Amino acid sequence: MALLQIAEPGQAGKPHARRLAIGIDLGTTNSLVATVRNGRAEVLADATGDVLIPSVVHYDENGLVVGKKARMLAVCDARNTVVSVKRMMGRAKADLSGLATEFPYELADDPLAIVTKAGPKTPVEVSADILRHLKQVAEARLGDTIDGAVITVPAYFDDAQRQATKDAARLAGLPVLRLLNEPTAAAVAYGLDSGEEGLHAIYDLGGGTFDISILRFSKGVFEVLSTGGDSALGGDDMDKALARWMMEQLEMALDSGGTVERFLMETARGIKEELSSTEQVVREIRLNGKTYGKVTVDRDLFERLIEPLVARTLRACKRAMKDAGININDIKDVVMVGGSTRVPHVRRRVGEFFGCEPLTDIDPDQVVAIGAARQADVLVGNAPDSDMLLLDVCPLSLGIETMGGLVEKIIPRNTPLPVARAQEFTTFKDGQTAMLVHVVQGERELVKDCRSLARFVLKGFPPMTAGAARIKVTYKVDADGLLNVSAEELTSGTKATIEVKPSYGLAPDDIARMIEESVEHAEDDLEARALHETRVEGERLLEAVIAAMEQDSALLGDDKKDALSQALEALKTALRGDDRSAIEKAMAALDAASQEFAALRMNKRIQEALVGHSLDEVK
Amino acid sequence: MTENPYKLFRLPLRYELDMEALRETLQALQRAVHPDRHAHEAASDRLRAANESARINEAYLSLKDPVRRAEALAACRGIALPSGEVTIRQPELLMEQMLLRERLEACREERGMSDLEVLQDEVAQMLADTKKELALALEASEPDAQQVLAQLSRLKFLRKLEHELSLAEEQLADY
Repeated sequence: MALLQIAEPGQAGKPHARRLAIGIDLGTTNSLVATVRNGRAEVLADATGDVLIPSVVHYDENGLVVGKKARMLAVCDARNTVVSVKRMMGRAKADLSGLATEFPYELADDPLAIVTKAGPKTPVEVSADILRHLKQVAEARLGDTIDGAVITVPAYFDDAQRQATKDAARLAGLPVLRLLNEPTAAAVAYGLDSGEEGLHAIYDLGGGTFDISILRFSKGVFEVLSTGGDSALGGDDMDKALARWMMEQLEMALDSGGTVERFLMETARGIKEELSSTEQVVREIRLNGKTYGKVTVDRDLFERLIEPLVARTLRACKRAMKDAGININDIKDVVMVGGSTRVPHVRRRVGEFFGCEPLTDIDPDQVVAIGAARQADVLVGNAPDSDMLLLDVCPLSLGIETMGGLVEKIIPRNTPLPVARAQEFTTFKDGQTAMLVHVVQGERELVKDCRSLARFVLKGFPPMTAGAARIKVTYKVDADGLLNVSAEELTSGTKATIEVKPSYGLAPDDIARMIEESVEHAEDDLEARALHETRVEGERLLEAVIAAMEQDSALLGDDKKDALSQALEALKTALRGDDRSAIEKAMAALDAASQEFAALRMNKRIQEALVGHSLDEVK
Repeated sequence: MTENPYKLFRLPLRYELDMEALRETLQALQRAVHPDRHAHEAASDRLRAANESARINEAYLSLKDPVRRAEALAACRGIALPSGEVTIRQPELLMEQMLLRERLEACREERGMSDLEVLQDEVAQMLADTKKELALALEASEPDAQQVLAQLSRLKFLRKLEHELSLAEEQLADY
């Protein structure tokens, strides 16, 4: 394992070496990895020269295969080949019915896992295997270890799906700089190239998800006004519609191994892709030596089959514009993202709807990864002069269960992120000492129609008469769109304990266990990895404080300055050694010593930002 | 507890705001505090940035919302508004709202899209008028709390109605 190069004391403030940052588009069908080199964003190819890496993993006794090779095994060994795993992320077994992909696997429940020859694999583990492969592709191309990654997710992903994606990255040993919404990433890719200011619509139809985002671009700021979509609608559904039609035409029956289904889906996808450039496709359907007959599919037929899906996407577009409070005429252009926007019918309908020619200058398969790479480059600190800023929103309303199974919304959809909101509740029984807080996500009024995210029990507050307790529940959503909930009883002044029980997928213990297992697998050493992570964070703290001192030491009195310098030296010393807990202690001490300084600095920045932006002169 | 958004954004004590300028201020502030601008700093600095950023977003949202903005301005100008549930003692207001609601119901039942649009236009006009009255009451040199309260109640009623109209529109237009 390559150890982090630690600058000598006193040199930490020097312009540091360029850090390696990548953007990853972790797609339903294909994944891509991109980076910025010499100011240019480029997608990275694997050893065979492909940039589009199928999001497919094949498992057997000997281990696993990811990508194109795995996809070739999908038809003959469907049960051990995991495709479209993105659709299973953050889901329980019960959630899977109704999705386009019929899963030909043996599934285990709680947590949901695919039973393969190599053992049960949770969706998080499968995604981690894909991410690990992408990381290896990048490291092979760039010749060094990756310092940070931006991973894209559909804007419409809920909290469980985002959390699962982040867990997968952790499992793959990939430091995540940020989860970025796919449409926002696409806007970054276009915005930075063209610099076109105004309102833009991003229409993103991928393999398994659909997203629409309305955003404003001005002076380097990408402000998302609204977002909407369907996290279970995509190109797979087109394939499925065509596969069903073929099955009916040829009177074929499904088999238990899933081979027929997988074969027809693959055939349908091939036909769909060909129809983007030809008017008609004739195919003889032959499987396992048996000929079922010929099918003739022309554009007209295909378009009729997929029209209901396209109409669904346009309804979501209407709603997003309404949420943004804008008219269709305000939209300057519409950017097409995702392989499924190659279908001519989709392009035509979207163009008609928005009344303009859709933008397709950047390859719709690559645009998301390119935008993610740009953002990663900025976040990792390679572009200190960049004034790019992404202001995203919360895609789905977050609420809490109240009496009678009703939802009270705490954070409505399309609220700008990050956001923190608190609401007070009370007890309804005399002597009550505990309260169940049920966190839900969705737009409907009844709890049963929303997605259950977590149940928190607040307990240990003193018994009071009904209505006397004051329970403050705080929802915080960070820039990644991840939710954190806390609760506190105010009158007793005691912070009662909270137990978190994710009602989906994986418990924190599961993740810890998997990391341990995967580390074993990779013949890596858990302690070495922990030390490495602590070092990176310690080094980062050191650099940040030194830079802050250089800039703003005038804000501090001499005694404070001395205390800070001492804590700095202590951390420098600790970083020279290999004692993780010593580094952690020194970090905590420096952090404590710099709290006041940091607050003063933040305030200074706010004041500076307001200069020249005072609205006093506005009429 | 939380800083008044008028103070945070250093705004003149006026009810009507230049939303474009407000957005530019928001962006300038977010450029200073957004966690992404502090991505390569220490964990506690990133946390502080996230908290500041959330605080600024919340202030911006309350300035964008006509009801919350009026409440913030009233607080700045020392106009005492009762908190919590208030009994409305304005018979004309209640009567007017009842009639409007009956018309909304009729549109729903008869699936009358064009009637609904007429109603929406009327309500939009009433909202604009109420905001003007509210601005006068809030900006008066010697503001009358009762007057502010009366206009604020009307604004709340109309906003709620506006929301229901848009839900009805969604239902009728089927999306």
